[in-house]
Amino acid sequence: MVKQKIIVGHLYPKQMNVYGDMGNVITLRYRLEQRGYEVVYEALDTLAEMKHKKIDILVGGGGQDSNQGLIQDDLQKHAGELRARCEDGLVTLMICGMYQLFGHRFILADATEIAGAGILDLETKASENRLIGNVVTQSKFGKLVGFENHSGRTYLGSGLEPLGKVIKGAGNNGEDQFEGAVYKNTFGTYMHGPILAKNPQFADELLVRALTKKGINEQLIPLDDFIEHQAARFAMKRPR
Amino acid sequence: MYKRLLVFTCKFLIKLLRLLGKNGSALPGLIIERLMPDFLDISLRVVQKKIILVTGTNGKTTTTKMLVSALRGTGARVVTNSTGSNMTRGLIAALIEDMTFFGNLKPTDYFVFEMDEAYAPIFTTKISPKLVIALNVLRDQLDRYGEIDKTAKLIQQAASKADMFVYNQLDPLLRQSAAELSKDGISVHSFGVSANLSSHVANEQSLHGEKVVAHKSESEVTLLEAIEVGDMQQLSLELAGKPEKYEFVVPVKGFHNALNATAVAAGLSLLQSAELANGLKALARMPTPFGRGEKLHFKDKDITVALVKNPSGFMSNLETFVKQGNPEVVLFVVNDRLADGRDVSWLWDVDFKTMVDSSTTLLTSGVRGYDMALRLKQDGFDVNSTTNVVEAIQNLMKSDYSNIVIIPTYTALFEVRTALAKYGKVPRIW
Repeated sequence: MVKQKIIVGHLYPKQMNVYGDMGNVITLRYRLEQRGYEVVYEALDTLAEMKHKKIDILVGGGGQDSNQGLIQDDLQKHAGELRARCEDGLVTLMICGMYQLFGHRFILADATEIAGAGILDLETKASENRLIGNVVTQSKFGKLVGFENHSGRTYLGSGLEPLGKVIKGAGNNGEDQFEGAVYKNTFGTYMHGPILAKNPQFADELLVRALTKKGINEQLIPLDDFIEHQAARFAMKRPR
Repeated sequence: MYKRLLVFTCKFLIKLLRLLGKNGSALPGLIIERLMPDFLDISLRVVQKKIILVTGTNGKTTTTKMLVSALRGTGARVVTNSTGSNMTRGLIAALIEDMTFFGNLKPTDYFVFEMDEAYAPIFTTKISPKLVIALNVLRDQLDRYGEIDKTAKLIQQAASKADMFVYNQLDPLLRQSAAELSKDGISVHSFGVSANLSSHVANEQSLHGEKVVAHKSESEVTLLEAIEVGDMQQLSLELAGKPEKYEFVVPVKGFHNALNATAVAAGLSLLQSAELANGLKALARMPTPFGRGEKLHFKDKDITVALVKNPSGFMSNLETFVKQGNPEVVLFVVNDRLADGRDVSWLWDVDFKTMVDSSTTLLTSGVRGYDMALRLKQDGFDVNSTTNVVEAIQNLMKSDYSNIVIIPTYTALFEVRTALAKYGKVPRIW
């Protein structure tokens, strides 16, 4: 039996790629292929390419601060359409730099503002000190473990749900204990690691949502996640 | 007088520690760093125009070893930090080692120091070296420096205090730094490879599927050919504006080392241009740096130990020692201690599918051995894991495998070598 094709889109893979977030794509592919789905990977260097492609899951990663400038124009040009897709329930996972750019704005030290895509009701303020280290977050999808490395401090709007509460680490801003954000099927987080590799239950949550959106209502076959859980267990025990 | 007493005591300590079979360099370095923080400035300022710094993300230790061998081949007396300890303490230890018991430096032609990228601008606060050689700027320990743009700036800041700057023109960040340094009046010189070799370069660009551009016209020392013969490489390079080609042998494998040798040729052409050919010939006799593709021959086993610190170095080592070396078994040992970098997400930027044959037995160990196992699992490999390094080495030594590759991160390298020493001869690193 030929299973359906699932299309995984990777937003700005050339510019936003410094922290191993490609691992999220690898994990999605692995967990889909193990269940017999065919996976198509689409590298999206510009959001214009998204128009013609039926992306089922969209992922984006962290990048050098300087690279965020490079994608700024493209993101602004297509922000409206991207917002509409997210409103419509597109399954999206944005890490670090792309998480920030999914908010309303990034405010620099001199108060100049860089506009974001405005999909998530949040804003980020530049800061001198980087928040770096292992993070453990208690979320609706279980305990999540990752690694954060960011200078921006992100503050959620009052209606926006965080991904979870930080048990260890700084999270969005090091003040309110929140980590990440969830709006419909759009997820944002500071957790590298990669987050999906070591948190398979969270990866499966994204897959179930993407399959449901596509009209495929079947149970995901459980996988042997022993190594995943061991990796997560050791990561959680490590010093910050 | 204070300095003399300190040096005398520390030299004595080094000898004593060695007799006890301990690493003799760390403790005396620490003592002097604490008791006499300006020891390096005071000792080195008078000889600053003999100082050469080798920095960059990958290849510092090997390149430093090469440059030292080449300079010694020209008859020069050279002092160096040879153990890969590349911050204050390592430098102090190297100096004390060479000083007389009265705390004086012996007459020396060159001080060649491997130097940590972030430490370089600190070292050059009060010292203006003759030459800074910059190999590359790659993603490595981002949790320490934040971003690679920052790393390039740190190197540039150090180089702005030097007379001369030698840089790898295949590295876009270093090219940019060189352009700015040149405007500031620093004498900048580049090395690179001919266009037909540029596809062999593993750097930040190639890692993300972009083309590496060799700017032939601006390369002053250009690698033309690199042919591997057994454990050696036959290299050929040319200098801009010179008719002759230089052909020589280096006893280290891997294209990244061919590029490191090119950096050495570029440095040597500035320091000892008349002796360039002799210096390059001396590279054939250089000792292999420990853990950088180091070969150990035990009774019934051949073991290669190849340190990895970042994705591009990992890819180069896989290409050289696993894909081409075709071992029966590979043991990956991944730690996340401070010197390794706490973050291990970079393992996901390494592509194992194209480098490892499916018939190879794969083992993982180290504090984050399971992270490594997970990475390999998702690339379709079966893996056996134990976090205990001693146990992993023990299993390997008890096995029937005779052709073994071990790939450790930095702190894991020391654990691996210590564990291996129970089963055969592992050369001391100090």
